[in-house]
Amino acid sequence: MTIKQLEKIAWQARYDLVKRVPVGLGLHWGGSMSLMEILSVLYFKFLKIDPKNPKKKNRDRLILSKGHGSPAQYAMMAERGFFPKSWLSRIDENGWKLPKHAHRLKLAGIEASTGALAQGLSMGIGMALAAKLDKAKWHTYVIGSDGECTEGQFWEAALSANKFRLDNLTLIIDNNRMTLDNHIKIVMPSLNISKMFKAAGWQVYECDGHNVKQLVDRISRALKIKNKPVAIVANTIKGKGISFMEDNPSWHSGKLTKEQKEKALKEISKRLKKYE
Amino acid sequence: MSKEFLTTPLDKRKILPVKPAFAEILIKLAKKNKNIVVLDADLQRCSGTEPFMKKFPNRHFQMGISEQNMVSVAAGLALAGKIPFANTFANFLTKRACDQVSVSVAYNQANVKLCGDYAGMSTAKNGGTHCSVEDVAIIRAMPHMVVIAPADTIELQKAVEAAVKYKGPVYIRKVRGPMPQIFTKNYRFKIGRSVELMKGNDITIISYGAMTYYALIAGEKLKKKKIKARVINMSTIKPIDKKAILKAAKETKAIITIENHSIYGGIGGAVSEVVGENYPCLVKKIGIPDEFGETATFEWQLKYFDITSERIIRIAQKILK
Repeated sequence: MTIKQLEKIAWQARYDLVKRVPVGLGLHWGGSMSLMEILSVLYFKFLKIDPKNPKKKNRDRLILSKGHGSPAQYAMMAERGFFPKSWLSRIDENGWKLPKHAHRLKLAGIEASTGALAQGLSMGIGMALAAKLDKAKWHTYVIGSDGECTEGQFWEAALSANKFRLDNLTLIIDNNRMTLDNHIKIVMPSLNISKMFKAAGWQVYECDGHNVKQLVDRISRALKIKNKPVAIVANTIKGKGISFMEDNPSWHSGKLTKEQKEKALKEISKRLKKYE
Repeated sequence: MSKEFLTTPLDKRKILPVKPAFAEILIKLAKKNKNIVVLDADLQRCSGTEPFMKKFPNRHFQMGISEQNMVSVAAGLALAGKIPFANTFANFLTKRACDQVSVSVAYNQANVKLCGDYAGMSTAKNGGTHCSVEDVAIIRAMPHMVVIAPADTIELQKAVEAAVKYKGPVYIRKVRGPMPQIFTKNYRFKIGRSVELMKGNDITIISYGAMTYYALIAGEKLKKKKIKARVINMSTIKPIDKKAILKAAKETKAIITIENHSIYGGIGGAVSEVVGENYPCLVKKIGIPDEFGETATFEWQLKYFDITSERIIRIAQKILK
């Protein structure tokens, strides 16, 4: 899979999500749009998984610790062939397989149910420990968020991953620099994610979280690191690709009007055309 | 059929320490089942898992004073096929890590065995911050959770064995001990099955954990007063043994519950829920009132809160007058 192809998939997933989700459905648009390149790189380049056999032994594990980004994961899983894209129009439908926060017992391919923040990294550590015990080669990826880094449990987890030398665990932080209420600089000014992970003994890489080439480079490097866990702080833009959402905290979650949906699709189509 | 429980005089019973019994069964089961792993949160001296750690150093994880992380890590281990036993004080496990028990374990239906130590007043002089007055109420309300509180070390070992066989989250409530022996090696423990330790049709006493011994003392003393009490050890608080409760409601005058826990939401609540919906009868609840634990010995607190055999006797006599 080339860099261009991976880029295109991210934009295609954005397009599909906006296109298929019905007007007026409240979703976590901002934090879903910021995730797309991270997800395309994982699902189409690194994850050793089989969409036709989601429970396959020795598959890689991916946990979306920031569970509210599930719509993005659904869009990428549909691209990867886990289920038909038509399902995306049913996100959040009462009782359906694609709830706002993904649930492992509702949808094959979801490794852990998340939604209450900061638990996914710890669960990923548990999985990585199990792999070590079994001397299995599969890798655990966790996608977290900068907002989660303001939860205490995240740092309990960070310390323990270092203690157990979990080089079979890679954490990618979707650093979109916003939480629900505001810019994170205002919500929690002293947060310095890279420094804090370094202090906890992790190998830390930073990159532009929308630059596929950089993401591929950092994850490739992460997989070669021995004896310690790796955190990749991927700097992203919340609401990436939709002008009125970008860097606007009020689009943490929200409902698109018909006009907004058309505008968003137009903007994303423009980006997609570059790959024709 | 061989006897499941002792009938020897109560003051002649062996009093056995909890920690070695717990370690012994973990090691025994872990020899056969490679998936069993153990986690501690810097309270290993209280959980008693050190012998396990020595025997299986790679299968023991010292997580430090990080209960929330420990519980979620245990969930991750379980989702990858392991059978983790996560240990810390009952009070910290169920409150500091409450959301992790709910989401990482119960919501995910992860095959985690949570072991709460020094439960209720048995934490003694650690005081109110360590005394779990409401852990059973909290965990019992969580979907998919099984709650077991063994009455002695034999039942503890059988409960651990059953928890390994059972696929799903289990909360095992342990007290500091030591505990007087109630059961024999022939005891056939089954999740959800209570045991009638004393037969009687006048009144029923239902208990679990450390209070079963006191329920038996009350039963013996009532016998001398010509009152025949049915004493039931209901160590599985969830799923509760509805059959035994309704049988008691129908066949005896009233039910008295006694527990090392708040009167809100423990076995008193669970029994009331069952009879209230099916066969209303009087349920008198003995337990910690609307209070936190005191910095005092277990026995001192029992007297302070009047969680005693004497109180059972007084209530029984009043009801049967």
